[in-house]
Amino acid sequence: MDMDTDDFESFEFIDYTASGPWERFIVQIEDCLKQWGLVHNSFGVFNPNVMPSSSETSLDLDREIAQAIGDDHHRHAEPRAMGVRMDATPPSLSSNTAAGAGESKVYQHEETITLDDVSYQLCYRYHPAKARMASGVEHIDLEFLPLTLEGIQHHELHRWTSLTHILVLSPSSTSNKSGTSSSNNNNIIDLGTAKLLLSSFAIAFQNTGCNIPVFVPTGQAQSRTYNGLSIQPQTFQLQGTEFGLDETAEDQAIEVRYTTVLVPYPPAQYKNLSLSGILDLFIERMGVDHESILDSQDLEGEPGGYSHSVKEQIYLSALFTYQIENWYDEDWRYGTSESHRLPKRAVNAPPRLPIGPMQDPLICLQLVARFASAPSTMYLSNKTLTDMDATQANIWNIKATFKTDEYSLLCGALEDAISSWSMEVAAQVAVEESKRASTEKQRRSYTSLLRKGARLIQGSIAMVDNSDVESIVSTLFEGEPSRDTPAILNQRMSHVREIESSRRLISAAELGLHLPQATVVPYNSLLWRMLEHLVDVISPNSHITYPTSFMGFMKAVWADAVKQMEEHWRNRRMIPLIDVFGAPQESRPPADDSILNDPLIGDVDKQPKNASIDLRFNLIHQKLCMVNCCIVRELDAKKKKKKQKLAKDQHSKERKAQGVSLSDECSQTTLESEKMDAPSQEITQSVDESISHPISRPASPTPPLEEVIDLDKDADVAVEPKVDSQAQDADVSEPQTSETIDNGTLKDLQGLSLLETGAQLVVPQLQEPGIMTEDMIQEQELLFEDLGSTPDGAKTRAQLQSAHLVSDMQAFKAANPGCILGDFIRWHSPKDWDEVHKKMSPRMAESGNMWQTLWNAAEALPASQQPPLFDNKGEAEAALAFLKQLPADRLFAQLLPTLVLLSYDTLVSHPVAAINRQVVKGLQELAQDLTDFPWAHLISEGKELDVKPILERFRQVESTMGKVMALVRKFPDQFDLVERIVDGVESVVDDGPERTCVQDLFSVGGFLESTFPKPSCREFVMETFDPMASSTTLAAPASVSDLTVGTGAFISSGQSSGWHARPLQRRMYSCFKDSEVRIVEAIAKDGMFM
Amino acid sequence: MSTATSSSSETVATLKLLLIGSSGTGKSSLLMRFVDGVFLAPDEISATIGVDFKVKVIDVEGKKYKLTIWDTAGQERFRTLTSSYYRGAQGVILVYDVSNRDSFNDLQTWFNELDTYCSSKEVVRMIVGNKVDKESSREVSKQEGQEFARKLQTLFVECSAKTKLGVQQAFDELVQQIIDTPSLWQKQAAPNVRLQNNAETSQENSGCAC
Repeated sequence: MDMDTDDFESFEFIDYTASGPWERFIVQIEDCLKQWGLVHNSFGVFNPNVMPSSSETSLDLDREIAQAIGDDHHRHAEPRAMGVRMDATPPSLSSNTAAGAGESKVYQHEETITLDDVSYQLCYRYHPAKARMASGVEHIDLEFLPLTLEGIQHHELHRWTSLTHILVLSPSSTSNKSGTSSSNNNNIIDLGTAKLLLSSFAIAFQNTGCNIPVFVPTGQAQSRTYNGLSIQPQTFQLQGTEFGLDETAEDQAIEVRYTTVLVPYPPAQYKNLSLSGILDLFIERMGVDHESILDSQDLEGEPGGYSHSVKEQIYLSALFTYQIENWYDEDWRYGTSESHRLPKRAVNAPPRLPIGPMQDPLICLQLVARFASAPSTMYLSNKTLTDMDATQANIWNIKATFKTDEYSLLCGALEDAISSWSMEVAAQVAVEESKRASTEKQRRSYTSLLRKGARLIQGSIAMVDNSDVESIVSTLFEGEPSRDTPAILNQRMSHVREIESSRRLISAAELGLHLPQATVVPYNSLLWRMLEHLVDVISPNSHITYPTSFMGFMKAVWADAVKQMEEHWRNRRMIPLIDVFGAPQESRPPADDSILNDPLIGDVDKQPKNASIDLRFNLIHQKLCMVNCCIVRELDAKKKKKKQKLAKDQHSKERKAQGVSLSDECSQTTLESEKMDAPSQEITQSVDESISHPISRPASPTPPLEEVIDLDKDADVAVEPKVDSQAQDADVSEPQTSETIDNGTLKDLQGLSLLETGAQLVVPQLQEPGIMTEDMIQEQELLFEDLGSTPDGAKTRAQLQSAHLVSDMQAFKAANPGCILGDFIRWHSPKDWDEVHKKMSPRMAESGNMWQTLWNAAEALPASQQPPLFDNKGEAEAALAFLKQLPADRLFAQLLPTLVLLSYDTLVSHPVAAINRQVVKGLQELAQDLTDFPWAHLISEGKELDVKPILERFRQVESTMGKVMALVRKFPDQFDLVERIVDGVESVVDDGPERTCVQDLFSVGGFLESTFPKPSCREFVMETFDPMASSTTLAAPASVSDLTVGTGAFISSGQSSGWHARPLQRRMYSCFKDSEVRIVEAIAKDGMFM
Repeated sequence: MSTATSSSSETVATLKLLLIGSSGTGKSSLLMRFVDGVFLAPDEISATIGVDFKVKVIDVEGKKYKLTIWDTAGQERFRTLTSSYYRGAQGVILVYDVSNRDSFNDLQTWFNELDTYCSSKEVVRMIVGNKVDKESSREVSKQEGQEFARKLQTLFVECSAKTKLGVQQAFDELVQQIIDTPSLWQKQAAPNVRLQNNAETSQENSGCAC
């Protein structure tokens, strides 16, 4: 720099202090544009070339990259703070942008700018249609950009202008949250201001080279009228936008003005809304006709028509929207399908519980018929097309609108049940609180549910009609018609539609087993069915119309059910639907004495199982099993007695025949308690062993120890005379012997003979093991633990558990006279027998050990004569008492998981569950939620449990299923179409059966000649260029819209001969509705002539 | 995730372990070796009647865990009795005798039993081949044991209650595995102690605000 030069100009101050608000406003705009990278014709942060065009994951990637670019600009462009204040704050990172981008508004950036204390929001919006198209995700109408895409509501201006990149300026309002033009009514921008604002942008655009159009709302907010502007530099180049703009380019830029016209009705002359009328409107408004003189000799002789050549160069595309409001349809849940693929069952036998919303959730169906862009003459000349009937449209798009927040029947019933329970608990708490505050802790867990998940039924009075209760209970106990098993159902569903194996739905029965142990009851068991009835009672579709509550009804039903259970026990009839054999009841062979005991040898699995309690299911169910197990045992005992009596009768007959006189009383008493189950051969065989040593003492239940020893001695002596026993077979008649005979032998043990007598070792009849419910096990476990791990404790434990061992020993002794501990060990614990040395293992042989002591103390006593180890009567009655005294709230807590599972079953076994991917997915997620839910806390009490997420998931799935049901009804068998509609709310209708199906549906309300109803909305886009390009430049009509739409630039196919020949776009979007006509125009002017 | 229990010993959790296997495989000996540090040959310990249990508190990474180890009778006749105690166990040791093929062959039966009666599918299972001191009369090779464990996807170790080889390691490994599976024991840890909890702390128990 030459300092010596005395040049005033060098020292000229540039004074920015005096810059007015307007200038500062422009500076702010420019800052925004720079920040978003909107310089030199760039799309900046929304540059489709930079933004990934991948398919499914595009959303996240978009966000990241948009963010990245945003950050980049922060770093390099050194943006000024976009704060509300205008003071020259030093460059700092603006958090505004980041926040704007983060809020799911990946497709918009927003900044606040102020002019004269009025603040505005400047928003850069992007519509992802093109990117999605490019990635081939779907077909998107680029001329009528969809308002909703990727689940985001886009600005209407995108649709009206078919521009993917726009800037929207709107008056600031604090409540401006939604992406649309929700500007405040108080901040109306009048036309003058709008002009000023747009001028500011024009300057800013010139300075920055931004070619994105900006829109400013004018007039009432609800009218959504916008004026807009964009500056298109002349030397527009497709790619090389990084070049600086030279001055001439700026001078010669093309300016496009956008205006909106909104009238409540179409201008009189276009009232009939014929296509030619609308064309006339376009030509008139665009001033296209200024050179093409009205030609009276025009074809078709249309009055006031314009020349054919003019019309030929107007390209037209249209979108007709047909809407059918959903009509009332009582049977909306059931498919109309003629084919039997969709659920006939649904028609004949409604699903157990109703699901979905109460009424058809479908509000309306919208069909959009799209007419592709073509010279308007094509539509005009074709007679069949002049009215643009939807059947002729190229593309059909269907959209469904559903009610929101619809009450869901099943979920509602579930909620009602839970809230009914919560209220019950809350009421109890209130009562108890007044008495004792200490129990509050326990109850709190339930009341929290009231706060969290459940709905309150205000002022509900629980009413219960006894006859309803009775009918439910009697159906439950007298048996209902059997239902489809899930297996059958699944099979049926798989016929309906192929679903990939990964999409398999887990049945409720199976899911029940995935839940934590002892949470639910078995599928379709008594309690399951009871719950079904109870849910049915409170569901709105129930035949029971009076107001009732779940808890109220449950209490009544439960009380009656317990009575029934007691009745069953009294009559020794098994409670129905409570399986204790671990298998379908039908497959169980009739109770037979021979199977009652564990044979201990051979394959146990082959033998039918004993009645037992399945601990996988919840306590209430276990208690019912207990009652049934006891009934089974009682019945078996009775049967044995009967047989025995029969045998006895025969026996005495024989005796009489033989003329043997004996002391009848004695034989009577002994026989009374005997089992006579063994086949006669066995009887005789066992007789052999003790026959010659009649025991003179009558059997007493608990003989003193000496007697037992005596018995042993006797047995020892018996060895010798035994040899010729075969000869004495006939002599069975002696009463004493017969007692010994029936010592409950089951069968021989693999040819083992007694160590000392050499007689066949016989496996005795044994007492059945005890049965325990979970709480009993727990109690016992605690007891054992309390004994501690000291040697004394261990000894006591062993003693406590030795009853069975002693019983076994007694029975063994009785069955094997003359046996010793070694014999017992060989059978009972074979590993403790050393076959080589013929002796017991040291641990058994050690004198004074538990086994020895017990063995020595055990008397020979067949199992049938031993005091029962398990008290059938006592245990059954205890279980019944437990059930009877169970407080209602605890009963509910026990049954809630089943209630939820049952609801799942209702959903999963519904026919629509299998035909729709969204439903399948929802159900799978629900199943996972149910598996992960900490049900154990509910049952163990004392924990807060939030069921709300589960209910919410239910509601979602149910709502989707409701939609699917409603749509399947409308579009029979079009499962793919239904799936696409549910998936994205709207879907293209494929040609073929889908189109036929849709046409059939819409033809119902036909009008005039068309089979279709009157369109509710007609949208046209008309486009031409001025000056009318020669037919050569616009040779490719199809490409016109494709090229211009979306880029926001008017590409004149690049090879136009010179700037003066630049074709300037005239575009008009018009939308005709019943009470509104909206016209959005875009008119380009060449800056050269401005 | 540690929570003070009501017990004075300040243990983090009580873990229930279970020893099952055919009779005479040395379950009680193993237990005695681990808990009391002494060896009594299976021959010398009276055959277990029903179930028995011992308690041991161990230290893992500075935290104390109380182990209640339930020893069961191997005799068939006791099964209905013993199977009741399977529920709630977090770790199960299936014992066989390397010098007795039958006891090895029985493992499958025991395993099935476990599947039937065990409440949780996550229960840590370990197959232990005991009595490796009797190398001369070995009937089941280590290889076989390993393959079986691989088939059933369990832990596997050979040990000797007599020489104490591998006993401590077997229990340590089992406990470590249980601790590494928090869902197994944290649900049961200190019931009724915490009434309220922050949602953040219960990541394992998704959706639960216990």
